[in-house]
Amino acid sequence: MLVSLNWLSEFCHWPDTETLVNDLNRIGFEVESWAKKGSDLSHIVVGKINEFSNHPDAERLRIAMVDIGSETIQIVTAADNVKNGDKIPVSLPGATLSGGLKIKKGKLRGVESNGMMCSAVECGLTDTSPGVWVLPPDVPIGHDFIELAHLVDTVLDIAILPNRGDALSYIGLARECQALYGTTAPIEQKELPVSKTSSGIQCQMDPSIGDYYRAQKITGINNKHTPIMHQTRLYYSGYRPISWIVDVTNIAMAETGQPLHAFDARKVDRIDVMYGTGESIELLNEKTYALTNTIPVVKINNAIGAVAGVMGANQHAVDSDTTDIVLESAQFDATIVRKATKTLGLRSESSNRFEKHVDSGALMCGVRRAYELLRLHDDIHVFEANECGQLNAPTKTIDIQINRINQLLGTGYTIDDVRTKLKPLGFQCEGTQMTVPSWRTFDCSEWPDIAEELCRLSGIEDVSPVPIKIGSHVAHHPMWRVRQRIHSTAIQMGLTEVVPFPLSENVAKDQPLILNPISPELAQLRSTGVSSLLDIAAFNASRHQRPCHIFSIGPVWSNCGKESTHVSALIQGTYHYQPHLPSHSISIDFFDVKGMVDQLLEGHVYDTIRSTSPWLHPGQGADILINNKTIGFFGMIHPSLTDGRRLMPSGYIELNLDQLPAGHRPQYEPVSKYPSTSRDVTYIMKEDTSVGDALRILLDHKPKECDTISLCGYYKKENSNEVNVSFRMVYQDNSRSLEMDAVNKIHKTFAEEVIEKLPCRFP
Amino acid sequence: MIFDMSLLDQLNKIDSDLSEKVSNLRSVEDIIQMKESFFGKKGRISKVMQGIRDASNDEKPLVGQKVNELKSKYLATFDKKIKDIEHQLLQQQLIKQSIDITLPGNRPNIGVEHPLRRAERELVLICESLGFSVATGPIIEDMFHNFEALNIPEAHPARDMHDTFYLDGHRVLRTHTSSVQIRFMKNHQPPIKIVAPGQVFRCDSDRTHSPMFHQLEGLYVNEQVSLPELKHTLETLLTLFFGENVPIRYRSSYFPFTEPSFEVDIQFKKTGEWMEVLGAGMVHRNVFRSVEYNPDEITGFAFGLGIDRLAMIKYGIEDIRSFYENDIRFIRQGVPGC
Repeated sequence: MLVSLNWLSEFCHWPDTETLVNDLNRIGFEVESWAKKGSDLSHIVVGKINEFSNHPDAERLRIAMVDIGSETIQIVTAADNVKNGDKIPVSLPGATLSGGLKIKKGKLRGVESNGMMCSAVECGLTDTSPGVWVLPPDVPIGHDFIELAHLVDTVLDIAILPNRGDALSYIGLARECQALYGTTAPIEQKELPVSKTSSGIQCQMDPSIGDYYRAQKITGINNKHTPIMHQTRLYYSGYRPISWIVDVTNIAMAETGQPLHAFDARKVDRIDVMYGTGESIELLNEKTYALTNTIPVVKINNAIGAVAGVMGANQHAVDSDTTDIVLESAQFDATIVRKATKTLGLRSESSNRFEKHVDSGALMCGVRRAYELLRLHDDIHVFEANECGQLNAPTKTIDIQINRINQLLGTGYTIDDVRTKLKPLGFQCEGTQMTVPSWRTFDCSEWPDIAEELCRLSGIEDVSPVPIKIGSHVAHHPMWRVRQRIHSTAIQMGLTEVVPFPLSENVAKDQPLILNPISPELAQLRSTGVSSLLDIAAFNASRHQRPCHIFSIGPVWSNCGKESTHVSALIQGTYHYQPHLPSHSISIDFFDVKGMVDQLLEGHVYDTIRSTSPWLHPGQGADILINNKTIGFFGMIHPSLTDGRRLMPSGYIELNLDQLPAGHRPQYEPVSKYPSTSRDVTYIMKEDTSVGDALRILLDHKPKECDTISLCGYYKKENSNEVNVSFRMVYQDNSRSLEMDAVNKIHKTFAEEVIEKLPCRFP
Repeated sequence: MIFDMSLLDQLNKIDSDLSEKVSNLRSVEDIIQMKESFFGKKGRISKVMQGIRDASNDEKPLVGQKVNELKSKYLATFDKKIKDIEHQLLQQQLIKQSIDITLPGNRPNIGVEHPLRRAERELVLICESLGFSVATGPIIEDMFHNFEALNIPEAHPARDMHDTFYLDGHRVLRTHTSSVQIRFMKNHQPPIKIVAPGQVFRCDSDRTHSPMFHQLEGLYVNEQVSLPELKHTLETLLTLFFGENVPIRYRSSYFPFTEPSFEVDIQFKKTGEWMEVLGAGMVHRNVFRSVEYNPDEITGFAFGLGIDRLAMIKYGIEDIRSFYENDIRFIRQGVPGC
């Protein structure tokens, strides 16, 4: 919310701007930014256009003679919204305008121009403007315009928290200032004149739309110019001055928080507040909306006059000829208005307030303020108000529970302290009971609400910290520990960690989709980490970052939305980075990748079967099984995927960490004191027989004397369909030295197991 | 002449010959040859000693003494000389093997963790030292856990604080890790002391906002938990994380699930701007009610740290989006250190 300090100063006082900003920040009114306005402006005066003539050499330019009191000056202008007799702000040579623009004497297409007619933009009030600012006719010619329009001001942009709808007004903010600084500026309001003249308007309202609706006819208004000071204040508060009547409703709303709406009173006989019935209507923002049966509308003689609490319609809107209005003030239901804004995708200053619960006590304040303003300028006539529903002032009392407050805050307040501190905010204390003011009933209902107010006003800075009791410790969630272990292994393996969004384009059938994605690339919940990492590798390759060894631990989802945590690793390019080494030119291959899988799964026994994953090279990919359950896959990425992204051959690993069995705590045993001895065996195997098959047979038949079995040779002769495969067995016994002959015998029997079971032979 | 000399004289002559020659020895071969010619089986000393039988009883001990003297005097010298020469030879040989020591080392590939993960890991370690344990929850959340149980009913204006990604009418991508509070409390009884790090999603993107970011939720529920305890926990956490006292600003704020609520800003050294890094407060009684705790028996505090923002401040990162661009040059600046 934009706040003009000139305007706020009508209601309260504060020491200085810096203090105010700091204190507002502290008590929950975050000042997102603030700026001094108008102090950089100079040499702007009120001028009156006395004469226009055409520019001899430019069709779009006109030459104006402008009376600035002391003299009449010639100005060449392109403005087309001004006419003879208009009063306008004129910047004279030497002037500085908003944004540092300097005005000098000069010639425009050969004609001397000694100043410039200003719009609200040049005066620093707004970013866009329809043209030169045409001033009310009663402003004095030659007067310093900066002073006249109160252009020097300070504007705060305050974030009003969603529970503080009561502070969406100058009076609401003033209450906070009073609680901070104790100074009060009495807010006096004139009573409305009691009128017995009936307007003859009939009002009806669906009670679900709101508690109270009030329509009051006021006649005799001259809907022309809003006084300059009010226009400036409106601009600085984020409103665009429209016309006197509209501005009055906005001024009253900005000050009191009560949204008001003025309908042109011509031909108004009846007003019905009800739900839409599928009408289509153009609202004041010149956009057309469909009014379904959840949208509350105000119908004037059966035609849509407004979306209730949100925005008026163009029909029945006031215009420059309007003299008579029906002033609407209402208590619309917060939820109904909020749903309507969501459905329409339309928000306004009015709906913003209704959504956050407008104070029932503010309604008549708003009406009275509008009346006061209108009365100042015109001899108006106020008719008897037409109402429906009840204007209820909800009351609420809270049991203070001072002991609990003090325990929670670590303070030692007495009931008296509470009474004194909260009084400026409108809270009334009687005994141990606190009466909540009407504007805070939505927000406050239990003793912690009082604690919050106390805490807000005294600040957190002064709270003395107290250490917490450590208490008993509970183990971390197992997934956290698995993640940490895999993370540190991956780092040790030389992989760089990346954090992709776990979202992708809508590419996979049946994967969960986001209804309102921020961009098409982030529309679907991913089912695997492959494309995330391929994209990152491609992005880095496009920035000449090759090789690229990356990993990521993050979520993936099944098509029914079940989440699991996967580690994905992509190794693109060569295994070693250093270009001066011979190994630099050797691309990563399947077995480099498999070695990494071994490291990641250290402590687990896993099996592999040929993978059918479409992401992998059909001949160089494997699914990983632990206890016959697939827990991931690895291999070389399918060349069509790497080629398409201009990547070098890449290895890939993906493991589902949720499926990983719990690791075993290592148990240490003494190593044998007796010497070990090793024996090798070589088999000549058909190429389509796998080493894994041979090894499995060996492991299944391992004699107790055999400690380890390892592959020690793998050789394939060129143009042969046979391979030589050698294993080395280490024999050892924990209780004795093994006899050579005995070992030879054991080894021979053992080695023959493979010959018996696989199509292979000894050399 | 020699035969006329006494044994002792002969030995003295050997002594003087040796002392003259020893200093001229240059090679291992020379030394071995000299050792053999004097001390060997057919060496000069052996020859002298052949005459010991004829020596007088007075002379015999003196001769023996002299031989021992010669042995101890020269044999050790020969050995030392051999070692010296061998050492020199080795040195000469090794110097020939000199290499350019300024060539780069053959490094194993060095992995680097992402700055966000690093910050997350450090924060969890600190929380662990304060007695918190890690809890988790799903990213796809239902309205109950993400909003309603946290005292954010439907049509509550506070829902505007969260630009929510919807999957359908009843499922969202969690907008905060606070949903884990509800899941944990529903399954456990107080005392509770947990932290929940994780990814959260909001429909927002600029220099300090990313559609995905990381939070660390903290929850402590017990009898008589107080605001001063919350303040101590947060200040300890921030001080340990930054390794120094950083400029902190407290602002009262509003979260539907805590009351009182406040936010903490930290000044970003590079730009001087205050950056909101966490929200915190005392758990709202309605939250306890939604998990069927009796709010008159217990109190609690909760906090939600923005891991991204904390990492930005600690490591001087100005744009949150650089975390998710995943340029490895950016990430690989994160060499281990403090």
